[in-house]
Amino acid sequence: MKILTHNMLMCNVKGCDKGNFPLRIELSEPVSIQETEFNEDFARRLIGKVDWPALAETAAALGLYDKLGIPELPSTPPEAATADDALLKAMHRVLLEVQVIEGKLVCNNCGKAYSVSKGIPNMLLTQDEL
Amino acid sequence: MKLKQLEAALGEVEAFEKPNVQLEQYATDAHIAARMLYTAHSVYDDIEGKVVADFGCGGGVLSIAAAMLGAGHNVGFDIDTTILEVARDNAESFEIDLDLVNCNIASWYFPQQQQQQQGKDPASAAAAVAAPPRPQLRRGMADCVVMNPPFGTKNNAGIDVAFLRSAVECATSAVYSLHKTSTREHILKKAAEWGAPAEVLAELRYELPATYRFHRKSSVDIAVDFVRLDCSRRGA
Repeated sequence: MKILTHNMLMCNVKGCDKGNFPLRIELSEPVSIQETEFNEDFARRLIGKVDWPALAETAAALGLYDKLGIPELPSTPPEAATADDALLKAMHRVLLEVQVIEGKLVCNNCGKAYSVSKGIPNMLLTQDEL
Repeated sequence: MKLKQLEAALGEVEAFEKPNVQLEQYATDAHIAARMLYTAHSVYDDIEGKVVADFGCGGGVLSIAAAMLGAGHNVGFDIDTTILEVARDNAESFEIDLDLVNCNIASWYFPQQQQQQQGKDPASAAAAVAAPPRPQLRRGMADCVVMNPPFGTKNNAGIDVAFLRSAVECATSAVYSLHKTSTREHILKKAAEWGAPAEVLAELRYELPATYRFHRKSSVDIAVDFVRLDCSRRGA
């Protein structure tokens, strides 16, 4: 699971509708980093798609700035038209090159833990959570 | 890429080994998958360099088609853990990048209790309908959603509309979906209510091979609409 996908997922346990995003990533295996082709237009488009506070929080929590050797991402949306190359490349690396393989996604509000196994998060709920 | 090349390539995608009748698992054949994605790409420019989500992705044929047409990010969602492994193997053999999430898309607008009590206890079914939506995905997270949802037959009446509603919430540009032609009026009406006007792009013959034991004939043709919902004017 890429960080871009993580940026889409929310907890939906019954009654958990505030503070249920972003889910905190707890790794049981280090993230895998796979280089992918940088596409400037796509990176620029992602500026409007991403939730920036969640992205900045997640990147910092996983120590991705040091790990990837990139500048910190802002926690408010940058201006898409004027975003510079360094920012777009940093976004690309965090969102599309970092993969969570094994671990869990934990809701900061209700504490529900969703497992991630072989890169696939399991967001299914049990009967009493519905 | 030409349509014919796309269709030929998609013919290699593995589908369900043991389809699950409760989930209405029918594979999307290569012919239909290729036409859906080719139209979304060549007529509407909704695929290349876009975030594309596939709801009820099964073996991932629509996502694979999207990737072959240059989607920027592909993510498939399905309730069936086993089929996601098939999707992952398919993505690997096609050497495409596909993120997968195990989740129940229908539950957002179609609570489990309703699914179980459909037709049995009208009072609790009504209560379930009135329950507030419980999104598991952030609104507007995708540019485009492509899907071949369950048609809502058997014990799943309403699940097709629940899928469509979730898709409309998630897509900022458009939703491409397949629905039984017999439900056209209802689908078009719902889409208009949500501020995402729908257009029937094609009427297709969907050949259902005798996948399940209750099928008496070796295959049946059903009429299916290929629909596009324009989500770009929502919230504007």
